[in-house]
Parts: sequence; structure tokens; C-alpha cells
Amino acid sequence: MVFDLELIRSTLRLATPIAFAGLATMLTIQAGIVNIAVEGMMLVGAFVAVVGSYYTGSAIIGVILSMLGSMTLAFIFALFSLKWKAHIIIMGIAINIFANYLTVYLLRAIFGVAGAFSSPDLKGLEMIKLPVIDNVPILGSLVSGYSILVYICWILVLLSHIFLYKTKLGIHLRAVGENPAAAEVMGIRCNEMRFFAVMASGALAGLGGSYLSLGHLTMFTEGMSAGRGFMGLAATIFGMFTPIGTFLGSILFGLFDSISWRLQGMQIMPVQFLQMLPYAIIVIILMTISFREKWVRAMTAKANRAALEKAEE
Amino acid sequence: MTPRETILDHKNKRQNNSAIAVCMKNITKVFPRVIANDHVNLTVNKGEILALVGENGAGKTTLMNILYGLYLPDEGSIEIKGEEVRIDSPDKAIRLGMGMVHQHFKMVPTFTVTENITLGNEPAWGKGIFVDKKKARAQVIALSEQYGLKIDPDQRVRDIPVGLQQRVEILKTLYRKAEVLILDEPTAILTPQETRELFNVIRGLVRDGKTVIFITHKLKEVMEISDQVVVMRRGRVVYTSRTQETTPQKLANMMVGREVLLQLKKTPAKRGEVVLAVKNLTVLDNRGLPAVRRISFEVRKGMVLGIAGVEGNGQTELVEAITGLRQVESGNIVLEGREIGMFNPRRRRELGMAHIPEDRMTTGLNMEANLKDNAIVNSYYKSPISKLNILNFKVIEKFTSRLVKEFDIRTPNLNVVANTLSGGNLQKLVLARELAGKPKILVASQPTRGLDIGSIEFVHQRIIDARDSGTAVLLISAELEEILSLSDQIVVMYEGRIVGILEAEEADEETVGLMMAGIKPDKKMKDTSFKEKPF
Amino acid sequence: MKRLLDNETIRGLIMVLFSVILAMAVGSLVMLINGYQPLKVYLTLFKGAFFGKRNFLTSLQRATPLVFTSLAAIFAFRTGLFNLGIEGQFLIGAVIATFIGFTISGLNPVFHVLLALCCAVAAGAIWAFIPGLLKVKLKTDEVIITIMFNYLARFGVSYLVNYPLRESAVAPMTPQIKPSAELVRLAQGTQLNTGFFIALFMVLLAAFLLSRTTLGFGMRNVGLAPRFALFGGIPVNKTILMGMLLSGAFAGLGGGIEVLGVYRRFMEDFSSGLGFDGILVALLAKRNPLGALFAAIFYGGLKSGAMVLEWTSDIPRELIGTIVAIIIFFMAAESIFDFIWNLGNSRVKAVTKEA
Repeated sequence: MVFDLELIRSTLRLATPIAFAGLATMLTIQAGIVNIAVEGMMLVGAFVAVVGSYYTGSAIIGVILSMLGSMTLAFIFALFSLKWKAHIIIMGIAINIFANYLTVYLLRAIFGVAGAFSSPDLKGLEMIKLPVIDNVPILGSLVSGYSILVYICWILVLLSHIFLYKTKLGIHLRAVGENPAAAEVMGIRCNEMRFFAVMASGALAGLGGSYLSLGHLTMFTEGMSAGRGFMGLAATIFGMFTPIGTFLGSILFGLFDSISWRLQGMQIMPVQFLQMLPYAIIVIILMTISFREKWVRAMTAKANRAALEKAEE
Repeated sequence: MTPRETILDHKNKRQNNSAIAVCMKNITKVFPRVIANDHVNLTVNKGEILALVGENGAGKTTLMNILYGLYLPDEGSIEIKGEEVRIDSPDKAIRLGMGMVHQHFKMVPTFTVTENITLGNEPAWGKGIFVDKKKARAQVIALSEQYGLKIDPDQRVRDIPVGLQQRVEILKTLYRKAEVLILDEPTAILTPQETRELFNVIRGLVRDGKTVIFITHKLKEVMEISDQVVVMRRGRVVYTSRTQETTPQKLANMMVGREVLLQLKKTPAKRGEVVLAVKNLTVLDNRGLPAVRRISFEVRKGMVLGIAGVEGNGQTELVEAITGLRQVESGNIVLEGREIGMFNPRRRRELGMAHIPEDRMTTGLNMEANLKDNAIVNSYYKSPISKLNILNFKVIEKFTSRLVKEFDIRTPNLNVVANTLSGGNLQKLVLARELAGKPKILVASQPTRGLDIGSIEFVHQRIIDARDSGTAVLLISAELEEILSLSDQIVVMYEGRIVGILEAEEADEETVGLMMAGIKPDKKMKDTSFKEKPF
Repeated sequence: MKRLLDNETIRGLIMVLFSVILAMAVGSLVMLINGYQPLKVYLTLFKGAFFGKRNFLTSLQRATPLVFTSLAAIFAFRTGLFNLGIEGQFLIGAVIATFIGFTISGLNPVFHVLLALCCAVAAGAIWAFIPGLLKVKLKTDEVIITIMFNYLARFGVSYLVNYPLRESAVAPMTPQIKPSAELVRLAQGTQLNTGFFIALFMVLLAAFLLSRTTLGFGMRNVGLAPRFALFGGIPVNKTILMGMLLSGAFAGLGGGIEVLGVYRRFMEDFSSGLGFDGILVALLAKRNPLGALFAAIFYGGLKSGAMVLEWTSDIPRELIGTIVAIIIFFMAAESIFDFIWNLGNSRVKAVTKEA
């Protein structure tokens, strides 16, 4: 049996880190920055979360520290790319490689282990049983009993939606992303908004990272983010740069992920094909978007021409 | 300024002494390569429409950007309502009652009309965190009713036509309580109907006590809408007048200037067979609107055909279509009997076309590359510059140094990057490269823009030399003097159409100036009849 | 000599030097925090990298794949493209070369190697060509597409190694390649092989292609000034496609050589990071092929020196990657250096402008 309740539960779990990465990417893209450094920020977040939890004995403090860790990396990214005008993609690549090596280095320097670190002293995040809902038959087993970060993720999706579309700051952020010149002449400080977006993406990536190392598993492994930052980018594109769309995109990837885990156990078909699917879909989506833009341009030109001919009559 | 004009100017000042909205004094702004504003004085009376005219690069937009706080002037002062102010940001300008509608709209396309109008200044609730969308909408509706500017507050800006978008831009300034509205070439992108509506709007605003600065280079519009007109040329104010006291020809002459060009050695043209023929050509601009409309002309061997016209009347699109940088919508471009409308730039060059583009910084040259790379871009794949796809450095070196020598390009060596050279030397390099292959047709677009007198003379002489050696030359220029002194035949363009074709002998400043303003030369027609012509 | 040391080159060298020093300083800080002695570490590192025959040869072996991936990055950069899919193109090249390596037997060694490498080149090139085609035809952004293609390549290759090409029951890997397909090792005790000479040759070829051929001319003009290129008659779209094609070809070749010379079979995840490291090297070399050779040896050397460091002390080798990434931070942020450079250069420029 491939489809059952547990599949949905594992989908929601696997979608969570992608959704965090997606929200992080989405926020920066809304401010006009293609932030591919989310991948690296997430990795650092996952590592710092483990360090924090291990030494303080509190998973929550681990999560908070992991946000600070990712935000430090985000700050470096913002400093170099926004202030010192390093190319945003090049800086993103450099940050990702940096994060990759730094975490492995620190893993060995601090814990003296290679590959992975886990310990009985490492406190993971506990599963939360929602008070009333837990007892509702099907609903309870669907939405209750996840790590707190899963719920925080859901809340943040809603909050990002409210932020982007209902608050002044969010609307200004979107204006900066779409037409910085328009924002500038209206007295909005573009670089400050971009800086804010990058820092927020750092915090979100930190949450995603700590979910990987304290929520989903209770351990840190090398290269733990495993492309989820880029998946977040893909989810963002899939979701047309909206918070809710991004979330749906990450659910889709989570579904593929959990199906492939399950099929791997059953050995029905090579799991790699399922793993490839999300990326293939992204390529197709990007192609469709380009097609559509081309078509829209042609249509607008045609409409303009028709209007002019009518006017000249 | 001639004495008469100065007197007029004083008279105007006396008349409206009590209400001066904006006074800019001695404004100077220097950019790395150019003096954009050279001690400019500008006085705008309250409740009037001032037209600021001049060619591209005359310094109008820079001056207005200074007034709007986007640039700080290097010298000079600004007074608003008689008080000296320092405008160091658009924010400050807005607070002082300035409002600017930029030529390229500054709007967020996916936002609604309401969101765009209120952007940065939204009414809010919850300690200023959340936008009060209802209130914003109500404010916008009230504003649009107050000024009679009808719009749908809920539509997305990208879904509405440009005319309405412009209306939104105007509402944006009014929302911020602008007293002085600066409109930067507002009609450049409008259809005639939309222009008419815009003028009604502007008149309404002035009735409500607003002051309007209207930047344009369309003389017809100046005559129709403005109270006062100021002409700028090469960074200076060259003419100021009450609108009813001037004529479009006068303005055209002031715009394009009457600099006495140095002696040009020019013998009568020996016209040969037709080299380039353009037949019923229609070309669309970037928005998909026809910029060139069913144009036909011929250029013959050994002659210069000059295309005159105030900028923005389709010349850019025409040149791009002829040289292969823009698609042809309909019609034919024929080079020596061969249809070339579908060919890419390389094919056209191979058939003998050369091109001096109007923008040498992005199109004519690779500013990041050295002189040698720039010198061979049109011949790099041909023998002897390269053989079997391998560049021959010795030949390139020789070729480039020959060009440098023949065209007197001042450079320390051939390996310097292009952006270290002055504008004159850069244009000489372009000219040298384009003429090196002995082209059959040279398309020269604004070949002397931004150059010093010495370089202008040099470029002119070389164009004439090319003509005399049998090249057909198509010259596109907004400088009337340039057209008159170089051309053997003159085509005048207006709004994408040809107003008329003149032989050099029958062309003089007045006739061509008139035609550039869109008026067919008709001896019986008086200057004053212009205003009565339907729009 | 004069041309070799023009302003741009000097400026570039100064920038690299400053970046290296700054990054080493940052690295020292990290080491101090972890309780290591920076000076001693750097000394051991350089010794481990470049002193002693064995160390040096290992450095060259480590540099070999980086030369290829950095050349791949350089070809894309020069054409104004971001090929972030080098990783995937490398993998595809490697798996194809392996396949040719173990399926065909009885071939002359020279032909066998040549055939395997040619297939690797073609495979890498095709894998890079698709994103290029999408960019030219549909104007899709190559950054995202090439990243996605990395994953497609990784999982595709993973499938091949796990199913049809799998030999070992223990681990996902292919059979060993036939001896006739092996690149000869140059010295005992190292894995340095004739692939390094191919790398040297390719550096020269790349330098030649970029600076002396019409194709290179087209590429640099399309990369720096696309509108100028179009105006001048350079076939812009064709050049973009060629840029991607060549970029992928170098990446694929690198993958093939790494398999034929070092691993001699394809194991899952054997290359991780070489593609992105290549981008670092290309940036370190300021997009110059000859520079890439030195940068690759520098980086490869540090990588192998770091192994020595790890054996002799307990300092993790990943420290090096960290420091190199920091070097790139500083090099990418050119404006940090502008003011330093302008101080010395303003006079020269003033003179040039007057002339």
C-alpha cells in the first residue's frame, strides 16, 4: 500500500525544510534578489542548532542559535553583495561552498568526528500533541504530533502572506523587488529593504536547518541540506513567488520525496526516477513560463496595433 | 540670448512678478563626459504651463532631475516660492510640492492603481503597520473625482493602457499634494487621442492653480499648450519667450542651432545608380506601435541623403530596421536590387553596408575591450584579419594602427581599453572601422552627437570624402545645420512619415524647420495659421 | 613582457594577493578560536602541498580535475553565462567514459582512451547544450536550469550505477575499466596520471581559443557587450550556444579523465563538489585560462597539503576550502579594491584621457 495516512504525515514532515527554504528564497526574490545562498545558510543553521542543543541541553536554544548562525552568514552575504557590490550569483555560490566546508571543518574541530554527529546528550525537538484536535479521529492523526517547527512553518506561511500583502513594509518590499526605481522616487530606501529581506531569509533558513538536525532527525551529517535550498528556489518559482504557492510547491516536493522513500523500501521501481521528477517538473515549469511571456508580449503588441489603427480611422 | 529676447524675458518677469513658483539660478551640473547643465537659469510662473524644449542630450531632463532632488547641482541655487532651498532627495522635493512624471513611468506593474498611487505613503492602521486598503481606495477615488481624472482604482497597472498609466502617475503626484508638476516628455508614448485627453487634464490642473513644467520636443504641442517656452541646447538655455510671441520655425531653429560650421570642402555630388531603396517600410517600436509608417526613399551612389527631423519621429527605428537590429513589419529594404529585410546584420554588412550607430557607448563600441578588438568587429572573421578562424595579431595590429593613423585617433597605444578615450576619438574609431571596408552604403546616425567642433569637422569631412569615393550615404541627424551642410537631398520625417523630400538647393533652414514641425511647405500658409490647425 | 604586465594584469594580481592575505587572516582567526596556531598550520600546509616529490605530485593530481572544471567555468563566464551545471556535466562525462572503458575490450590503448574521452566530451557538451538552447530560444534563465540539470544528472547517473551498470553487491559502483582504457600513472605512490598532461594541453588550447580565434573574439564581445556584438555582425545566439557547448565539453572531459586516471571505475558520489570548486578556481584566476592552471595547482595543492595537515595534526582538511571560499568573497567584491587601486592609478588615467 503506497498511499495512506502515514504518507501524508511524512509528506508534511519532508515538506517543512523545503518550505522554510522556499519562504526564505521567496522573500528575497520579492525584494529583487536571487538568493541561491539559502542552501548554505540552511546547512550552517543545521550545524549551529546541533552545537547549541548539545552544549546548552535545550533544543529551543539550539533553534534560536541556529537562526543567529544563519543570519550571520546572511549578513556576510548582504554585506558583500549589497554594500560591496559583489555579483549576487557568484557570492551565492561562494557562500554555499563556504558553508559546506565550514560545517565539515567545525564538525571535526569541535566534535572530532567525520561524516555525522549524534549523541544521547543531543536534545531534539519534541513532538507536540495539539490539545483538542489530537482527539478528533482522522484530523488528529493528520495534523497533531509534529515537531513545533512544523507548526511554526505553517504559521510563518500565513504570516508571510499577511506581511507581503497587508503591511506597509511588505508592500514596500515587493515594490523594491519589482521596480526599484519606482520605490526609490516614492522615498523607499531600496538597499535597506533588500538587506532586511536577506536577513529574514537567513532567519528562515536557520529554522529550516534546525528542523533538519533537531526536528526531522536528531543528528548532523555533512552536506545535510542536500539541495533543499535549491528545491526551495524551485518551489518559489512553482508557487509564482507567493507564500502560499511556495508552500504548495514544497508540499509537492515533499510528496515526491516521501513516495520515493516508500518505494525505495518496496523496490518497485528505481527510486532515482522519482527523485528526478521534481527537478524535471521545474524545468518544464520554467519553460512554460517563458513561453507564456513570449505569447503575452506578442498579444500586447497586437492589441496596441489594433488600438492605434482604430484611432487613426 | 539676443537683446530682443532678453527684453521680452524681462517684460514677462515684470508681468508675473508676484507669483514665481520655481526659480533656478545658475545651475551647473557636470558629468564625467559631458557638461549637462551650464549655468542654466529658469523661472516658472505660478499657475502657468512652461514648455521646456530641446533635443535629446540638451540637458532638460538633468535640469528637472535636479529640481526633483535626484541629482545635486555642482553650482547654482534653487528658490521655491521665493525661498532658497536645498533639494537633496525626491523626498525633500515632494515635501516642497514638486511632483514628477518621468518619461519612463516609475510604477509597479503588478500593483493596483490604488497601491501605486499611495505607495510609500499608505494610510495605515495598527500603529502604522497594516495598510488601510479601504481608506486608500476611498482617497484615490476622491482624488480622481476632485481633478476629473477618471481611473479604476482596483485594476492592475500592467493591464491598463499607457494613457491611463500616465494618469496614474499624475495622480501619484497629486496624492502627495504636488503644486508644481514636471512632465518629462509625456506625449512621447501617447496616441493623438490620449495626447488630447492629457492636454485637457493639464489645462484642468492649471485652472486648479497648479503649475506645470512640460518637457517635450514636439513643437506643435508647445504651441498648443504652453504659456511660456524655454529652449535648451547643449546644456544651455538659448531662448526664452512667451508662447504667443514666437513661432514653431523659430523654436525649431533655436533647438537645432545655427552654429557656423567650419569650411567644408564639398563639390557637387556625382550621383550614380540606386544603392539602397526603401519601399513602403513600416517598423514597430518596442511597444508594438508603428514608429515608421510606409516610408519610401532611395539613396544613390555618390550622394548624401539626409534624414532630418526632430528626434523621436521614427528615425531610430528606421535606422535599426535598415541595419538589421530591428524586425521589419512590412515593406522592403533593397540593397543593389536585392531584398535584405530578412538578413541579419552580418549578411547586410557583407553586402556592403556600414553603420555608425547613434549610441556609440553601447552599440558602436565595446567600451571594455581594447582598440584592436573594437577595430575588427565587422571584419574579424575575414581574411586577412583571420585565416581558418585564427586571428592574425600582426595583421590586426597593422590594421588598427593604420586606422589610428589615418583617422588621427589620439591614444597612448592600441591596447588601452576603449573607455579611456575621449568621445571624439571614440567616434573617429567607429568611423574608421566602418569606412575601412569601402562600404557601398554608409548609414550614419547622429554621427557628431556630443562631439567638440574639431571632431565634428573631421567627421563631416570624412563622410563627404566617402561620398566622393562612391559610397552612398544615409545621414540621420537631428542637427539641422549638419543635415544642410552635408546632404545632397533631404528627407524630412515627422511622426514616422515623410513630410517631404527636398533637393539641397531648395532647402533652407526655414523650410526644413517648418517641415520638421510637421508642416508641409506652403508659401501661402502663414505662421499664425499653425495654432488654428486641428490637432 | 610589456603586454604581460599591463595595468589590468597587475591590478588583477594585486587583487588576488590582497584577497589571499585577507582570507588567511580570517582563517587564522578561526584557527585561534579552535585553539590551533595559525602560523604553524600554514607552514605545514604549504610544506604538505609543495615540498617533497610525492606531495607535489599529489597536488598536481588534485589540481587536474579542477583545471578542467575551471576551464568549463571560464568558457561560460567569458560568454556572459553562468554555467552552474558543471557538476552534472562532469558526472555525465565520467559515467560515459567508464561505460566505454569497461564494455569495449581488445582495443589499442590509445584508441580506447581517445574513444572514451571523446564520448565524455560529447556527453558533457550535450548536457550543457540543452540549457543553452533553452536560453537562446525561450530566454529561460540558465542559472536555475543548470542547477536543476545537476540534480537530473546526479539521479540519472545514480540510477545507472545502481541498476544497469552495477557490479558490486556491496556498493553502488560499476565494474573496473579495462586496462586498455586506463590513463597511465606517472609515478609510484601517487595517482598522478597522464591526464595532467591533457590538462596542460587543454589550458593552452583554451587560452588559444579564447584569445586567438574568431570564436573567442565573438565570445568575449558577446559576454561584455551583447548589443555591440549584434551590431558588429557577430552571431550572438550561435556564440552563446558555442559557449555552453565548450563549457560542457571541458567539464565532461574532466569527468572522463578523473575516472580513467584515478578511480578506474564509477562510484556514486565520487566527485562531489569538483564542479563548484572549478567555479571557485575560475574566479580565483580572474577568468583567465593560464591563471586557472596556477589557481588549480594552488587550490589542488592546498587540498592535498590539507590531507598532510590532517595526518600530522588533527586539523580538519576542510579548513582549506573555507579559506578559499573567503578569498572568493573578497575577490568578488571588487569595489573593496577599487579605492586602493584608484589611489595609485588616478594619475595614469588622467594622462591617458588628456591625450
